[in-house]
Amino acid sequence: MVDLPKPGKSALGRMVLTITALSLLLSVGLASGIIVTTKHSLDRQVEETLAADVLGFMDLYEQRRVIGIREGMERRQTLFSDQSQIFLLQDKDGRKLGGNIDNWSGDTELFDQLQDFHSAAEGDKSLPYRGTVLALRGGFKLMMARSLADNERVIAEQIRTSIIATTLITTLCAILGLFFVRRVLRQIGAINNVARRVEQGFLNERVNVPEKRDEYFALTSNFNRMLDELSTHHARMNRLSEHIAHELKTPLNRMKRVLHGLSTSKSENVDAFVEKMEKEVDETIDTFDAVLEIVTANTTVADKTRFEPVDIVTLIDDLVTLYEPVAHELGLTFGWKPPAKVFILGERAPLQQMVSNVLDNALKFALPNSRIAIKVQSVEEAVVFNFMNNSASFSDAEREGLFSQFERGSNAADTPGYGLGLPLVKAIASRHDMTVSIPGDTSGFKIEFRCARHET
Amino acid sequence: MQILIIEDDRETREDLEAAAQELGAEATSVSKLADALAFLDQNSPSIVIADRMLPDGDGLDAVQALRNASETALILVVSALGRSQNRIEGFKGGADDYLSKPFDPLELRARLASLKRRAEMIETIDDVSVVGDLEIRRKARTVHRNQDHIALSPKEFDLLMYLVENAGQLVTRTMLLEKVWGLHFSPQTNVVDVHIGRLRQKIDVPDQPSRLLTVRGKGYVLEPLSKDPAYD
Repeated sequence: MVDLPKPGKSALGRMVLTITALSLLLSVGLASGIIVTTKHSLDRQVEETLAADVLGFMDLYEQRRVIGIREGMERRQTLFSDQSQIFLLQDKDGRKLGGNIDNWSGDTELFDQLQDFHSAAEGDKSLPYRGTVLALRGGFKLMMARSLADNERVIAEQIRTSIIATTLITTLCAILGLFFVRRVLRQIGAINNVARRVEQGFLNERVNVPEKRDEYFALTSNFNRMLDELSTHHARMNRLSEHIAHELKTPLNRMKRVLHGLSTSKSENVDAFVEKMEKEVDETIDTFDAVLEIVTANTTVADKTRFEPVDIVTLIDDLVTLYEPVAHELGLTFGWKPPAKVFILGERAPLQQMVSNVLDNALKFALPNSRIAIKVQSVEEAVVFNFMNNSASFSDAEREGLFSQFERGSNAADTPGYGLGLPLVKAIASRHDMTVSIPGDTSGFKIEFRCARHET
Repeated sequence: MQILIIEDDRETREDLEAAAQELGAEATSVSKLADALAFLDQNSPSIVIADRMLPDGDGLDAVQALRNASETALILVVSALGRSQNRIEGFKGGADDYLSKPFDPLELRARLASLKRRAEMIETIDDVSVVGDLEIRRKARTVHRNQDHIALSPKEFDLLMYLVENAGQLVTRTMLLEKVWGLHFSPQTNVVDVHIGRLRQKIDVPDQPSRLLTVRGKGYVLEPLSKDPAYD
């Protein structure tokens, strides 16, 4: 028996780890994407604002030249005292003519292009700006910039939030994953433990699971059903061994008696002893062959490649023709009107044996002057055929045991046979995916077969 | 006539050799499939008696190999694999007849005799068989006694024909079930006996001994083998 691995080494654990790692990567990727998009959007806003500032100042310059720009700057200084926007007007010698700063921290010779820089420190603060320098007629320079501090604050906030969220999500995934893995391993462990106990010989062990419509319930139900089948099979094989021992040793014992009788007999009737012995041997061989047939039918998988379309009506008809003289001698009649051909998939020889066994039993147990009715009919996509006799009857308990090997009806004590006919019928029916039943709701005895019809 | 026997069990081999020699055939025995195939390469026996389970050849492959090695020899498989499925597999694999172990020595001889007749059969233009005062026409499927038509059912005719083809030889119930009804198992009920009884009623002449004899515990013979005390 192989033990279950620890969660960390289990396939489930690895799967959960992989999913957690993937979700982490996904979260990081998503957050990064959002941050980049936000930054891009914010930068664009700043640039558009800056462009508007440039247009505004250029309008003033067009109207009233440098004076207009100076007056515009004074108005802005009055309205916006914070450092969110900075502007400076210089003459051709670099002297300040107007603005809310004294010096330009960026490149004063980089004209008509955006440039990023940090302003000169005010106290401990050094603020980021994006600005531009315009060259005016007469060597004048107009410099203006917008602060990026708010943008950077927003981005920093987003990054912080993303880190927290990603960490939380990953941790939650890991915890839930671990919980999930442990739960599933516990469920698998329950099945494993039962399997181990069954392997040790405790055939009655089953997995206890509350009824729920989930895959675990489905698995354990099927597992328990498989164990039920194994237990039944095991019990059957045990009983079969006991029966075989009895049924084969009994004739062997009779043979020993015959041999002993032969050796001690003074009679010259050796032929009678030999004939008796040969009969015992033949019957023993027949029993052995029948048991072999049943065991083979029950324990091997049917080779469906050997199946061919078989007309069940003709098959039954041929056998009825075979048995009809016997029925006549026993004072029985067959109620049989062959319908049109009906095909099923199967192997002809076992099916012949199956029907033959049913007819053998019918002739054995039907009372004289009674009728054995046979019917074949198509019911939707199935074929149903049955054999019925009103004179034979079995109790409910007997009916249940009829398909068990070596079980015989209470009225069978004086009729030859070993109780293998109907078990073989059931075994052959099983191999053909055919259901066979002995309905208890009919007067008399009825055996019914049902299987899929084959369309030719 | 030459008969090749392929059997690895010494005692069974001796039984088979004795049966072959009783038929007047020359018996050659081998215990391995390879030896059998080598023999068939150089010889053309009329009948091959083969065990299906040989040390160097298992199951159907052995039968098929023998069939491929000799198209003309009639193959009798003698095997402990006696379930109906095994028998059908044997026939499908190329066997002409199949006998399960343990077998009745009389049945072995009956089947060998039947195969021998098949091997020696010469095609006849005339399809009429005469058995005593019974005249049987194969193609018309009619039976007459002194111009009087005897009505037989189709299966009764098939049954009679098989007995006629093996006249003078024992035919077992198993052989009749196989050859006449196409069944490879033995029903629990004595169906063959009852059909034989009905046939007798139709073909026997009242107040005269039946030409269709029962060999108790074995089977039937059409026409007595007058010198063999084993038959009634």
